[in-house]
Amino acid sequence: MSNKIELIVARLEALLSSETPDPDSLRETAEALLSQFQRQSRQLDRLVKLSDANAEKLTKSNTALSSLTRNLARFVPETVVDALMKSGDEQLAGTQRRQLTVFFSDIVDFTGMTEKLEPEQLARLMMDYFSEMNRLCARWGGTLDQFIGDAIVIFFGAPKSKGAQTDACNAVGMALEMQERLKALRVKWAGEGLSPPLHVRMGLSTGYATVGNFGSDSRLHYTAIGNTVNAAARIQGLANADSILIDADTQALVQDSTSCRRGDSVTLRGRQHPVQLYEVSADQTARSQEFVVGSGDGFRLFLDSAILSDKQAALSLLREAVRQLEEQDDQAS
Amino acid sequence: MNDLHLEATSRTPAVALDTGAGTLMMTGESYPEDVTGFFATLTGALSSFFDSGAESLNTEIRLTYFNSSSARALMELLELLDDAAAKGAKVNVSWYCDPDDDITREFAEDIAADVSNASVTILDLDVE
Repeated sequence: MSNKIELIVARLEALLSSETPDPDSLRETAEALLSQFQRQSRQLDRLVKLSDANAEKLTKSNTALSSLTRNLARFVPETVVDALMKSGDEQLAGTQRRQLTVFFSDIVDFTGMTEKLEPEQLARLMMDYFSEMNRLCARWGGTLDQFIGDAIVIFFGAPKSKGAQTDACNAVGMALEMQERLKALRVKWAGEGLSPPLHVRMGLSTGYATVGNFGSDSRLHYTAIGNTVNAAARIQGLANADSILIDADTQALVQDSTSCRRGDSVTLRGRQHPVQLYEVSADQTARSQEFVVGSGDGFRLFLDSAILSDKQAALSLLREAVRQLEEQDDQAS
Repeated sequence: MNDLHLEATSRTPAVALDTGAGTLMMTGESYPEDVTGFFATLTGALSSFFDSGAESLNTEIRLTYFNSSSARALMELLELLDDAAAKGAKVNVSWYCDPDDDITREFAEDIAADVSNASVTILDLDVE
């Protein structure tokens, strides 16, 4: 209640408390109160109207913001957009040292392919290719760092990490699904008359990298920098067409769930020590029948008969393990 | 009778009451967390300005956004200025509104209709 109304009400109460209130004063005060009531009523109408208009403005702003967010996710990795929406400005500041599994892919003989296709055909093919790969990246929770020409760089472990092992498993799972999806895409493209077959090499490396927003004050790029990123690119260069090559650190994290073949030990450019490489088996479902894995207190078992090189040594170890267990069992009974 | 200078914040407008020149400027956006406290400072300064016998005040309102609570406070502010004008002070209010914001303009015009002693003029705000 405004001061003015309070004063009028007080005056009216004083008049009414009198046994013989002055009729003129009573009338004058009642009219003043009525005038104030009408003014308040008009003000209330204005406030309601203004409040509705502000709510409408807010709705429009929210719609624009939603549209902006959708469009932003086409230019900035979805994982980064999510992190920015939740955390605000602090996510924009600084860099961090994080363990990442970095994925790097490249199209085999891309230059030759560009010479065989018309620019429109190439544009359609690449749009198809990048869209599908990007969709799989999002599905597996990867952060799409960048497209470099025909190459794709994706990392797992930042801005959010699900733990080093899950990050590595998701990275390898994504790579496997990408190679599977490419088989289907090649059939589709051939049906559309895009004859040059598109084959991709993939390389993955796990290790520490500096991750965050790099660039200038006005233009930032959320990316990862470090030896692990370079290693992924170089490992990719050593992979065969349609294959996935990973380093020993990645293999160590995915070995319980993914079948790999031991490959060469190579010294990557810029590194002093050789790196043991593994090729991820293309058909992970086939190996499930030949794959035995389990662990508990006092034991750990991993057997992939598809890649077993020394069967006798494995049998010998298993027989010895069974003998010991049976012996202990007999003693207990 | 003191001058009042409040710096603009992300939620409150800049306020400058120059008692010597007889001017009051409000510029920015208004959706303070403590609306009552913010406007009480201004109405308090204005009351003592008029109580000291000030004869005229030229007011400029340049608000690009104000919420409903601020709107109510603005209506009370205009009422205070109108009362001062009723007592003999020469009070002019220039209210600058975004020409594309019909609602705010209508709101200002509605308030102006309730002001009978002070002079209120609605003008276009230069929006960059």
